[in-house]
Amino acid sequence: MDGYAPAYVAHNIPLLVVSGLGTQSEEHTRLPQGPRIASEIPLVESEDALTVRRHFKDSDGSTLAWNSREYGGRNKFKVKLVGRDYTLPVRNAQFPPSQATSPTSKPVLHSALSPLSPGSSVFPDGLLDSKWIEKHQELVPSAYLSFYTFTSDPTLSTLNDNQLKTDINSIKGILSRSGYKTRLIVALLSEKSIVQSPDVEERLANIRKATGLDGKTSLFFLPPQSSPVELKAFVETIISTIYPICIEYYRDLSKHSRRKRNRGVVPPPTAPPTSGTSQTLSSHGWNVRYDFKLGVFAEFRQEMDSAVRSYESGYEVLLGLDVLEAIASWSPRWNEARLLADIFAIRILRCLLWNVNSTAAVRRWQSHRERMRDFVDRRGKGSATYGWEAWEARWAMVMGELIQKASISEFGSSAIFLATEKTIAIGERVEPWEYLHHPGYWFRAASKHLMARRTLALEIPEEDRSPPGYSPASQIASKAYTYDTYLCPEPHEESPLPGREGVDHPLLIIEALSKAIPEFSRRGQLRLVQELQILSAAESMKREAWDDAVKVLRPLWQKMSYRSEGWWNAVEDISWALRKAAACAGDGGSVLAVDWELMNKCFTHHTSWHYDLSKSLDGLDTLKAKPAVVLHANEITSFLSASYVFEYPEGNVGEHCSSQLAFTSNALATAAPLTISEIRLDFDGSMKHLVLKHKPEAVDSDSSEMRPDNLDLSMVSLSEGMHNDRAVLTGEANLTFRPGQTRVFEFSSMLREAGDANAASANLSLATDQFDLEYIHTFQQTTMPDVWWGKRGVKKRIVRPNPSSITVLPKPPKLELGFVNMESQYYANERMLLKLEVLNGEDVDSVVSLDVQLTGENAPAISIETNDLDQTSAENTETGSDLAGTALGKIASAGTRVVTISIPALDVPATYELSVKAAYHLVSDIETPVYCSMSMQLEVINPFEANYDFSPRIHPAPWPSLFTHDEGDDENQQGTQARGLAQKWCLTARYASFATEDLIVDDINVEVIGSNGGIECYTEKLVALPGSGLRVAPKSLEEAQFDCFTQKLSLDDRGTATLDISLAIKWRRDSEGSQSNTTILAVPRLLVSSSEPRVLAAVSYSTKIPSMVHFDVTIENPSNHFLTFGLTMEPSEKFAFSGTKQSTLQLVPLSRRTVKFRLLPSVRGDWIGPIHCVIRDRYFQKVLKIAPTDGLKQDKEGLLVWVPPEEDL
Amino acid sequence: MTTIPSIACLGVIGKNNNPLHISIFPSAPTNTPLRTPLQFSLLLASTLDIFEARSKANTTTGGGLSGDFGLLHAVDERLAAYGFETNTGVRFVVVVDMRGRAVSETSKGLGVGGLGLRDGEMKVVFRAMQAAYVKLLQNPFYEPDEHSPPTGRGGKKITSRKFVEEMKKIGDTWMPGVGGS
Repeated sequence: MDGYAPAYVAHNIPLLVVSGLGTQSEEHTRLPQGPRIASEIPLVESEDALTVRRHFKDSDGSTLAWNSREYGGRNKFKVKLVGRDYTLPVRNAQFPPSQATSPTSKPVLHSALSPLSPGSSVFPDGLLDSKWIEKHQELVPSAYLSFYTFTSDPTLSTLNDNQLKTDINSIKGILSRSGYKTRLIVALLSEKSIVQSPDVEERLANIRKATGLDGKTSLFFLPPQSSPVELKAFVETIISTIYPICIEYYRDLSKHSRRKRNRGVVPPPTAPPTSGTSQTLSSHGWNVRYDFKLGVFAEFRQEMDSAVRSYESGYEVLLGLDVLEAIASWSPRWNEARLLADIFAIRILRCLLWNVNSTAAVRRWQSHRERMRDFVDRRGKGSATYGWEAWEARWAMVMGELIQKASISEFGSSAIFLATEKTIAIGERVEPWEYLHHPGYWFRAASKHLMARRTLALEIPEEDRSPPGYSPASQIASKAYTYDTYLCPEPHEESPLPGREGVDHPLLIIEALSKAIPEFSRRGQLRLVQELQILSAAESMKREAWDDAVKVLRPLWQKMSYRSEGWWNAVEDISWALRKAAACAGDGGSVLAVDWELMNKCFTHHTSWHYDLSKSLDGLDTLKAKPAVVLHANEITSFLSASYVFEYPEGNVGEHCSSQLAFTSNALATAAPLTISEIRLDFDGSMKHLVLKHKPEAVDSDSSEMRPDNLDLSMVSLSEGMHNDRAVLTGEANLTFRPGQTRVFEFSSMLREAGDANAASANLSLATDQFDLEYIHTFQQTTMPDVWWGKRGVKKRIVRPNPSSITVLPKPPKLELGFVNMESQYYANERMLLKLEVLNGEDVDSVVSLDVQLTGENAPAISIETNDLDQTSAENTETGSDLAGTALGKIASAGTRVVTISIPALDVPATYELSVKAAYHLVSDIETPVYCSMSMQLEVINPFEANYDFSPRIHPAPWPSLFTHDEGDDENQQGTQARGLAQKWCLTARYASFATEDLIVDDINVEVIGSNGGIECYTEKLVALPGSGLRVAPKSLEEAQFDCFTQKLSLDDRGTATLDISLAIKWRRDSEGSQSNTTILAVPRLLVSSSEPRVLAAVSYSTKIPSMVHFDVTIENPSNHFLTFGLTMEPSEKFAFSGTKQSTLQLVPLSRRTVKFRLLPSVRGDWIGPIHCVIRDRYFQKVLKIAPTDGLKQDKEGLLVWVPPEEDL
Repeated sequence: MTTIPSIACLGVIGKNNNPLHISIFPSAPTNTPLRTPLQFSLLLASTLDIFEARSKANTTTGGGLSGDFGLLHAVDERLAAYGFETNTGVRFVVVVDMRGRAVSETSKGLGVGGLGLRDGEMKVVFRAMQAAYVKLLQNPFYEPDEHSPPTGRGGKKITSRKFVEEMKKIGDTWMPGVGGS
């Protein structure tokens, strides 16, 4: 809105002049000839007055945004602070001096700004002057607020009050004489220090009466000692009270204008026009004037709807047939009218935006442009001139600025454009542009028109471009008809001849763009900002401001989103622009960087371009220094892509590992081959850096060209070297990369250190006389599998997440540990000898020491026996046993050493872990210890388990009689001679082998461990084992019987006795020289020698009569009682018997009786029975159970007797 | 002769914000494209800003499930960009030239409702583009990962002749008011 008078485009708000506060400032010196308000009364300079002054200053609303929200608050006025003096403008023009007397009638004086007054700029046929708005906005206040001190001193009060009255009345008089209807408002500030006197009210009433001021709206009084809050409230009260009055003032002015408009008469001018044209302003022209004034006054009142109505009506009339159409296009009035039309449109747009009628505003904006275009095409110089484009740019710029000034709240967020307002019907066809876009779009549109303007300006023929003094008059005349210079310069300035000052078009465009860029970037439209930056840089280049262009382009080139997103044509555009700018600015680094990137074949090929880095800096005279460039692969789209692959993901220390570094050149086919001086590969972790140096070879190029896939695989031998004080591996190869070529360098390097290593980056450096260039390719994980290149183009896909990394494992041990001649199972009670063989698989001799550890619950102490070393033994501990550091000495390569680990016999089955760890070092490498370990589960089980049967037998010896007396010299004999009752028992042990192989049982025996209850005992084995031992198969059951004789020591002792016996099995493995082991199995405690009577049955076979069986029932009475038993023998079908069938037996104490039966069984070779022989204790009526002995079996119904088959008898 | 809107450019933008396909159509009255291919590229790229801002807004408000972003922005009085996003992140942009096609007054009756466009008049275009794209995806030789690699950088353009033809057909035949709802 620069081209328009500020008063025309400014928003109008009521003017309030505040006088008499504070210091004499903001002196008003203009229009000295107007009515002057002056006063003798000094300024109010108290502290309160200054505070009030500040509050008024803060209430100034002239800089607020143009919308109704902002004006809702207290900032309603344009506040002008003056001293005591104020000069109002002259209301009426002076008489023109030349025509002091008029013959016909008394001339009427009009406003000095009216077209009727000679001397006015618009006399006689102009429409409006911006001074008119200025007069109302700046000079003539709607209210004149005068501050006075209200003294509290009673002695001075009358004098002071009278002075006030006089002053107020004089100002009132000046105001009313001036012809303006400005309201006088008086505010009295009470003096601070003095106590409020009771007659204040009276004095105020007195002043009011004398001055005729309205006590409510025109006279304000600030009581003394007011707080800051009260002061602020005081100012706010004044503003809010007088605001309606001021609005009324502007309403009166509106009424005045409307009255004059409705009168419909053109007032006669003060003097008829004499110079120039005799034409005066038509009545339509007057209507335009009045409508404009009505609109402005409505704006003063903030009544935007009514302002729009007035403006629209004025606009229509102005562009109607009778006003603008009637003005000759060559006349300066024509442009004035055009300007006024713009002002109308601007004010209409502002009112529409005020009410956020956004779509209506865009449409109005468009319609004004269309009407002006139509108008210029018909009446003016057409719309194909630079003047029109200049105006179009201006018009777009105006809209952008209006939207900015309106600061619509929806644009506060990131909104790009506004939705249509509610007055637009839903479903109405709305053009996309009619959604009000944010100002950035408008500034951008302006920049486009500015570009079009430049294009047109450059087309101006040279003869029109010479300045006025240099061209013939006829040409000047024709220029005036050809070029539209509305608000823009003449052709000779618009497009100056070389060497002359003129319009700087690129600068105008850059200004427009720099207004647009913040608007876009604030809304996050960063890609659009990039686009605008390209345009801006292009303009800078047009101005030859190369440094500015580089300043914009270099960051853009580095950071642009187009590259990572693959918008290659945009990247290319920016790159070429940067190259051009950098070349001119002497930024060799940027030139090289761009040239490097542009060699990529994704960019368009320019046939004339050399695509050779070595020629990049040719012809650059502006170079400041030798450029050094560092390029990172992930920051540019390089034509060289690199990958680094280890052949295997793992390797061991001391081994060679193969790796390949592959470069693929995607350069344009015509690009020159690139020769790199040096490639440095950096590793993270435990690998040495690798440096490849260029070595030109004569044979290289021809041989590699032959490859159909353009692949070149070269083996590079590496050697240790130093590079920048670091140990590196260096190699030499030809480092020339041709377009489209894939070059693979294969290395074989020795792994020295365990740990992870990965290739971090490849640095390519290119050092020439002209520049240093470094290109850093950082290896990253890719989704595409990397390739391992083999001979003759064989490819192998490496599918690993990170093929550029390797895990280096420690050196693997080659010592082998193994047990030889292991038994498949070890048993308890057996000494275990484990033979450990240590085999040295290394290529050289090794010095080995062994750690052996047996862990488990109650692990026994173990010992190791080596071939030539003495036995060592270790302490037995609770948790296990551990033999550390048994030195085995040197073992020759491929030699073995056998170590015997001996574990003593175990009593109980157990499970142990035997771990063996060999620590060794090679004779050739004493420093590096190597470890090798193995472990084994050792399970030891019981070879045998047994169960037992303990049954009574009849003791053959006679029982001692109570009546026999043995006089023996027992004192001399052993004192433990048993004299009690002797009993015979039979212990049957059934033992099973739990071994996994055959075992030989050499002997089996029972041992009496102990007894209690006063008995003596001895055992006798019944069946002897064969001399060579008994072979016991796995899982087989064997039986062994023992007779067990017990005898009470004393005959009188009838207590219960128990016997503790264990079974000892002496066995050995079934192999040569196996040692004999003894497994002792515990027998449950045996109960012997009851004092109860018992019955034992015995059977024997007749030797005389075959098939006859003697069946004896022996009743023992070990008690001291006389017992009576009833005996019944029942017949059976199985046998016939002879003997007592039923009888009564009486047993004296300590006696036994045998009842004999002879059985004749009816069957052979079978068990017969049951034998129903019942022996009942008569006294207790208790049946005694008959215990079977040899040849008898107990059944659940009774005893069974074995009858041997016929042949045995 | 009056002018009605026509399609000036169809763009398919991949998940990595990379251009997959750009078709440019001539505009009246000179029957040449309104802008250079570079300018159209920049224009399409500029819509990405708005796609990003809108989808951010959509995730917070939970709206915009249909994928139709409607008007993205009007670049100037003639060109306006409309957008659509598929659920795989592929974006279709239609750049409409509001005065792109000249029609004689007599044939004005069909589908021409004056200047401007209603919301949803672009749906038919997006539907056709999506159908073409789906058809492209069904081609076993089309590898979507090549065109929008998961590394998030760039990608190849669509080279399918059938797809290009389909785009051309869409751009040539579209008329405002046809199929709009």
